[in-house]
Amino acid sequence: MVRGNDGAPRGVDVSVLTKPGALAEGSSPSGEYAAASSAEPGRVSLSTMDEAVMVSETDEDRAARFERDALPFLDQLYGAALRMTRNPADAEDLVQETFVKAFSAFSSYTDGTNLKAWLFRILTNAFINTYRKKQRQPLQTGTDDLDDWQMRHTQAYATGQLRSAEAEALDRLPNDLINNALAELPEERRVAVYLADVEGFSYQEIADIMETPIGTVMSRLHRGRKHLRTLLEDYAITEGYLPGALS
Amino acid sequence: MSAPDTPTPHCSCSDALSYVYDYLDGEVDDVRRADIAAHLDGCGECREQFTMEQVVKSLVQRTCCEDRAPETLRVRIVARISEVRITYRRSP
Repeated sequence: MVRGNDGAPRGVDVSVLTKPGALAEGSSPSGEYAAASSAEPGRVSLSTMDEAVMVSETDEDRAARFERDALPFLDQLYGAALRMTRNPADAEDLVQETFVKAFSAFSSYTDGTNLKAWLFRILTNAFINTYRKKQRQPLQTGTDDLDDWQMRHTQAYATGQLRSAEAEALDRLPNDLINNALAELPEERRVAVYLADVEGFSYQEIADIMETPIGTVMSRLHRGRKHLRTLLEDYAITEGYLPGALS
Repeated sequence: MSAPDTPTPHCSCSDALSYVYDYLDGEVDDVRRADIAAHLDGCGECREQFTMEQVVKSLVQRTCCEDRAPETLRVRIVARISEVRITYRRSP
């Protein structure tokens, strides 16, 4: 898949989208994350990895390299695990399992490949193969052929009714409501949206992480975001951030 | 950036809207990006749709980037890795 021409895959040209004064402040990611994401746009710097020659690496060296290179992804993996499990205690267990698995496999990790994507792949695998089985939770797939909510809301989506008011209303929604909406998405869509929007992975990277064809990733993103937008609109109306014109 | 008030012939509204996610995700090539950008310059309706989708994307970022792992988890993981190392060393 093609990246932005500046090498930053999340290169969203907000200047094109945002009219002067309209949503200029609210529509951009909040400061700390924006800085972090522009410094490291979904791509892991592998310069230190490139230099490492692992043929004669000792056990201690490998552990030190793991702590230096892999452990910094702790917060990001925990955030993803939190979205997957929707439960802090389970998220901690899942992340711990991920790091133990990653460490055990670290000697076979291919130097020069994307460490962040590799870790997220282990996390996603651990979630699907261990966590969900342990919880005896069936896979939440969401029907990919027909979506009632999508049919129901096509009308409102197409009319362009109150759209700028809507954008401003959604932008004012508190984070706990957005969390609730995210949690309502079927698992595979929720994970795809998270990997794209929060971690800035490319479609190809998400396909690798979720072990699914790229077309399926695009479908999950498409449906997940439309679903999410519908849920947010409903919340905005219910909570009084938006008049009920779209309901 | 020029802002003509007439839609460019480069791409139609339905073309532009069919690429809204690819565009916002940085998954279009330079030619298509320029086409869509030119279309958005001249089409307020599509620009609003794109803005809406960008707002939803930003909301997810804004909400999720607050997550921080508890410090106890880091300590627990480092301890577990040490255990794993010791186990490995003992079993040939």
